[in-house]
Parts: sequence; structure tokens; C-alpha cells
Amino acid sequence: MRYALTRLVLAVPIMFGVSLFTFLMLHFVPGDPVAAMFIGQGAAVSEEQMDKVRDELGLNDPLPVQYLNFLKNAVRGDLGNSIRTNEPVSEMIMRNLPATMQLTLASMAFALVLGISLGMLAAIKRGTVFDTAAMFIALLGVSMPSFWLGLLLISVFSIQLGWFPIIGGSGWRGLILPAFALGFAASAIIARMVRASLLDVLRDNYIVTARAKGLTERRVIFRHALRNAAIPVLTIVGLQFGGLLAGAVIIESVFTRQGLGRMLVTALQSRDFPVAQGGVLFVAIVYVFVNLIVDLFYGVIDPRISVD
Amino acid sequence: MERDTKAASIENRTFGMMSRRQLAGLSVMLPALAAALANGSVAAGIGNRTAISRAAMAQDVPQGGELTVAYNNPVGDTLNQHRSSSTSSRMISRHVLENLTWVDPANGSVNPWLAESWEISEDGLEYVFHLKQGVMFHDGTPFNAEAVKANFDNTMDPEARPGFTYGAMGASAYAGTEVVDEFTVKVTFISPHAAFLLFLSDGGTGIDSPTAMAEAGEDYGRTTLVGSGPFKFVEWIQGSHVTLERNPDYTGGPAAFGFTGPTPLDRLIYRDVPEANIRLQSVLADEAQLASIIPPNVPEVQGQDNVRVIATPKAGTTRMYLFNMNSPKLSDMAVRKAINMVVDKEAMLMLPGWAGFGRPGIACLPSNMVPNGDLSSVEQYDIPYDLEGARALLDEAGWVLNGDIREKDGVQLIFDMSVMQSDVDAGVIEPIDGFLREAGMQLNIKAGDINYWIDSFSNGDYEMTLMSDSGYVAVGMVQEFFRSGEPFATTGLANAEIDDLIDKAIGAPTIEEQWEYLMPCIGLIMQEVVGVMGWESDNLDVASNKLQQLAYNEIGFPWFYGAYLEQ
Repeated sequence: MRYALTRLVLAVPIMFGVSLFTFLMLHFVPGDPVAAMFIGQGAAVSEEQMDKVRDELGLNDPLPVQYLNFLKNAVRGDLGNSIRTNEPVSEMIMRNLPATMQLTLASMAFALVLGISLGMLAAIKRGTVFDTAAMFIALLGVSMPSFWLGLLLISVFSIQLGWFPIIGGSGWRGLILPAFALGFAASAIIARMVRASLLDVLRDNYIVTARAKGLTERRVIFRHALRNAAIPVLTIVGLQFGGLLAGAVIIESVFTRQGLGRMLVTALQSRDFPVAQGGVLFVAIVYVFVNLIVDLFYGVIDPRISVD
Repeated sequence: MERDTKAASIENRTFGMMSRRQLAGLSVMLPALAAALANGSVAAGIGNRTAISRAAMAQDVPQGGELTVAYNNPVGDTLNQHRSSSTSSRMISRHVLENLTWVDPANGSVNPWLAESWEISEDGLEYVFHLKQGVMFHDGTPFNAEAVKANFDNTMDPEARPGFTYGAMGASAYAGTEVVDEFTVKVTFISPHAAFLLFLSDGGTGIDSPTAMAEAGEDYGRTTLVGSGPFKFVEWIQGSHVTLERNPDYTGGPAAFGFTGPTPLDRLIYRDVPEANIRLQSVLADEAQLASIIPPNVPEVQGQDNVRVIATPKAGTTRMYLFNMNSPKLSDMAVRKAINMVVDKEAMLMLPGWAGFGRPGIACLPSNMVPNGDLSSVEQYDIPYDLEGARALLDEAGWVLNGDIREKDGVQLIFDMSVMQSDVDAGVIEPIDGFLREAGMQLNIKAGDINYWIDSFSNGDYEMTLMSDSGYVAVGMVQEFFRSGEPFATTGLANAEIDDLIDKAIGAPTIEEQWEYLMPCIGLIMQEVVGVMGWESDNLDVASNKLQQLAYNEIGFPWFYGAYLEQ
């Protein structure tokens, strides 16, 4: 428990850093949300009119004041309102979260199934054509950008073959291609880690002992080796979860899916500062939280590890 | 010749791309209306047919079905038109809300809708509207003068954030709205607002249920939108879609439209699809029945017999390669003229970035924005293509070739072109560089996202840029870019005569009088050579042939009241 609390306390400066970094990035890249709002309306707009809006949004305040205001409100759970839609940012996050979590979890499930299967196959059949093929697939996975893979999948499976919807869609048919595109890279990393970890474990004395006791190879692998090989894999899974959340930003746009990623991309395009800041902060919190859970989970997998 | 062939193959599946001559032949009653001519042209295919067929349409055409429309970011901000600044949002809302007036795209005339008639005072400062009786909003609230006043008061609330409609209502020229009796309302202005009746036809000035606005408060336009129109709001899922459904009790419809009563479609869905090619593919796969596309997509449509391309002359300014005349190089009139002389606009329109669509630009406003499509009074200031002449002009001005690039006093004729990356991707920037190189000039293309571009333009941090605006009130757009002192007038143009003519046009009580000042003003702007008036652009849509009776409104956006899907 003390370990968990320590980690939670340590998360505070991380959150602070993330919020500060996001705030500075947003304000130092070019772009005036108010000019973006008013240009192209087919009519003249006065500087006073634009200034009034800037005042209302607090954009005329000095940057440190703007940041402190954001921080003060964020601590109270108020991430502000969207500049474009005036909707509370926290409501926007909650509205978009289920779709992104659905995609992220589906991608993770896919990555785990494919990654662990390929990794095990490569380790057990080390040096054979299976090993080479599995690692080639893993190499493909880490080499292909997810947006490119996404476009390729749409082109082949949606446009050419017509098996899946082109413009998103609900239900499992709309989830398969984006989950594959997003999870493929993670599966490759997991496969390589499972292979390396399993090969290490298979050389340990207790595996030799298990085999000497006459256990079947299946029981040796699944009961003894895989469980002990899982700890480094679990670490990677935690890290990959953050990667998948970040990847959703791109994949949701490619597959025209609703979610936190689309919300963030739209916010960044329109310099909707509160949404971008709040969204990034939220993703950072989820990332830290997931990694904390992974750390705590070590003890479950290997009782010798005590987090206290 | 190649252009004609290509255009014809598209035209067969369109409602018709119109030549300048054809456009000019379609006169409008209200000349400043952008798409009146434009849609007169595009709707020509529909317009003539629908005038005959619409009376019987409600009974005769297939009923029901779900129409999906794929657009990029269809709701830019909110569906609350009192606060929105998004054009496409206004076009969606127009299916839910009804307006006081209806501008007939076929001829530009202003027709009664929720206002049965109106009177305008001679000085143009007072408008009295006599309202239609018996109209109910979707929530059962009756439509009356109080509802109109509540809407206009909401738009002009000094404490609220102004959106597009604030300007449409006259901004600082607006004085107030007064209820005369239950079905009569008076709107007063401090100074004339000649385009008021036109603006009253825009989706932005549609009349919302005052009850719904009060109940929803800040959520209005996000969780609900209640009007009296042919479609009811169902839901808006941001980043995904807007769903509207048929209003079975609808008995309205502007009389001039040709029919009244419920619309044939059961549901209308606007899907948010950022990528143009994905939008096109969604129509080819029949996941959507209408989508906006860009010229580079057009070749993929050719040869497809289940879809058609619809080209609608854009309501707004010409697409202009504007100069920043504060740049020392571009302060030289010879350089500005020479750049114009090297751009072969006819050839340019054949390139993939245009795919044969659009017309060579002449003035800052395209021909579909001016009375009778007639730019003849300013055409004399257009600078024709003349490569040899450009070279001679630059030589004479002392800009001599040093290698491939001309220079004078150590300054090379290389111009920073600040643009959106999407324009570079669309193929409408690099060809200009190619033209310039023919005469020893060059572009340094600096591309970024829309924010980078707006920032560069607003701060005057550019030498050239590609600029345009969408809209249909000519004077507003000329003022926006060319009246000195305006926030987006950053070309360095400072001409007191131009400013004076713009001010006089703004103060004119009627649109006809506005044009008496505006046309000479446009001529003066052309004489200043503020940029290359690139091309008069078209909005391109691809539509499934299942979609019939598709109409386009006065600013060139599709209007689905009356549209149906063939079974």
C-alpha cells in the first residue's frame, strides 16, 4: 500500500510537468483561435469584436496567469470549456472515452494474443523457419507506421473487398480494422519480448528439473516457463497501453471513429486550448495509472515480489 | 481541347458546369448574392425540371430511406446559430430551422417564408415583418413575433460571444427588435444594412424555439436544436455524425420552392469524414450518397456510372494569390505586374489541382458574385498572360537575371509563399512556382496547418499567400481584405479612395446602390495589382445517382428538402 501511495505521490510532479509542457507547446506554436474563428466568415469583423472574445476566453491575460488559472481549476476537476463548442472539457472527455477505451482494449487484446503466440512459437521452435517467420512478422509490425497500415487495410479490406465499412461504423465490423492497425506494432514488440524472456527462462534450472520430473512439455511451458517469463512482458504491456492511447489519435482520424484521439486532433487544429490541455492531461493520468496497476500486478504473478 | 473533353465527361453526370457566358446570361434580382447565379447555373438541370415536377413530388416520389452525407467537420463549433461561426453548421441547421425569407437560388429573388410580407422604410433603417400564423416549433411552442424577438435578442446579446449571425444582423448597425403585435415585428437599424433580407434567408438566422433555447441554456445547439423546419434534430455526436429525422407534421416550405409538406427522406445523416478520398470511396461503396471532394479526386470518378460530380460555383471571393505589398520586392509595381503576366490561368486550370473546374479569375470577386455576372467594366484592368512582356518589364525595372533568378541590388526575386499544407497537397501552389521560374522568379513555399497560415496572414508575415473567403455579401468581403485598418487587410494596400468607396457601399440603403460604389472600388483594387486573381472556384460534390431532386441553396450548399432516394 505504501508503495502504491508513493507512486501516486510521484505522479503529481509528472502531471504538473505534462500540463506545463502541453500548455507551453500549445501557446508557442503559431495560431490564434480567435482569428481562426472569425476569418472566412464572408464578412468583415472588427478588432474590438475579436478582442472581446479573447477577453472572454482569458486569452489576453499574461501566459503565467493563464496557466495558473488552468492549474487552479484543474485541481478542482474543472478543465474549462471548449473554445469552439463551449462544452465542459471533462464532459467531452467522458463522452469520448468509451469509444477510445473500446479501441484501445480491442487493440491490446489483439496485440496480446498475436504477440504472445508469435513469441512462444519463436522461442519453442528457436532457429527453425517458424522462428524466422514469427520474427519477420514482428519486424513488419515495428516497421510499419500505424496510419499507413490503416490506409492499406481500408484500401484492401474495405474498398477492394468490401468486407468492412469505409467510414467507421458501430459494432465489431467497425472495430476490427482499426484494432488491427493500432495493435499490430504492439503485438510485434510483445512477440519479441516474449521470445527473449521465454528463451531466458527455458535455460533456468527449475525448467530442467521440471522436465526431469517427467512433466509434459506443454505443462512445462504453460505452467512454469510462461508465468515466469511474464514479468518483463507485463512491463512492456503497460508501456504499450500508453502507446496505444497515443496511437488512437491517428487511427481514430484514419478510420473516422469518434474518440479522444479525434477530439484531440480537432482541438489542436482549431487551437482549442482547454480541450487540448485537458485531453493530454487526462491521457497522461490514465498512462500513469495503468503503469501503477501493472507494477502492483507483479506481486500477483510472482509472489516473491513484494511491492511494500 | 483536352479541357473540353474532360469537362464534357464530367458534365454528363452533373447538373451542368456553366461557362462565363452562360453565367452572365442568368441575371439575378439581387446581384450581390453569391450563389444566386452560381446555383442558377448548377440548379439549371434541377431547376427547370423541378419547377414542373415538384408540385406532384410529395405523392409521386419514393418515400423513406436514410441519406448519408460525408463532409469534413460538418459542425465546426456548435449548431446554436446565435453563437456559431461555422458555415457548414449553418447549412445543417437550415434543415431544422425555418427562416423569415427564402432566396430562390434560380433567380436570386427574396421570397416569403415565415415572414409573409414586409415593408422597408425609405431610409432603409426600419423593417416591419408580417409573420405567418399557425406555425409550431417541433416542441409545440407557437411561432410568433415574441419568438422572432427572442431569437434576435439572443443573437445580439452584448454579453454573449458573437458568431456569424451577429454580423448577419448588422453588428453595430443593429438597433433593436420590437414586437408590434402577435404576428408583426419591427427591426430597426442605426445605419442601413442593405443585405439584411438576404441574410434572413441564411441558416444562421433561422428561428429557434425560444422555449427550447431557454430550457437548454448553454447546451442549446449541442444536445438539442428545435425549429419548425422539415427535419427534426435527433443527435449530434461530435467527431462522428449529426442525425436529423423527417418531421411528419411539416406543412411549411417556402411557397416559391414549389411544394410544401413533409420531406420524402426518413433520416438525414451528416458524417464527419476528414479525408477527401475516403469521402469519395464512401460514395462509391454506397455508404454515403453525397460527399464533398477535391479536384484531384475527379479522375477516379470518371468511368463510374453510378455517381455524378456536381460543380457549384463557390459563393465568396475569387481564389487570390495575394501579395504583401509591404515587402520591398512587391512594393515594386513592375514586379507585381510581371507575376500576373507569367501566370497562364487557362493552362493552370488544366492541371490536376483544378482538373478543368473553375474559371480564370479576373477581379477579387468572381463573376457569379456581381450583377448579371458582368465584370466587363473592370475587365480592362485584368493583366493577360504575356511571358515575353513580363521578362521585358522586369528587365526594364532593373531586375536582371543572375543565373536562374533575377535580382536587383543583391535582392533576389524569391518570394515567401505562406500557405496551408492542404493547398500544397491539392496541387494549387507549386504550379505558380513553375510559372514564376519561366521569368526568373521563384517561390519559397512555407506550408503549415491552418493556424500557421492564419497567423502568417493576420500578422502580415508573408510575401504571397493563397486567400479566399466564402460568403455572399460582396461588400463585406471587399471590406474584409481591402479596407485599410481591418484585421485581415494585411496586403499593405492603403488607398483612401478605395476606403471611401467601401464606406459608401456599406452605408448604401440598397444592394443596387452598394454596387454603384463597389464596382469602381473593385476596379481600383485591380489597378493596385494586389495579387494574382487566380481562379473562380467551384465546390465539388460527388453524388450517388440514387439521390434525386437534390437542390442547392443560395450559397452553394446542398439542401435536402424534397430530395429522395431511388429504391
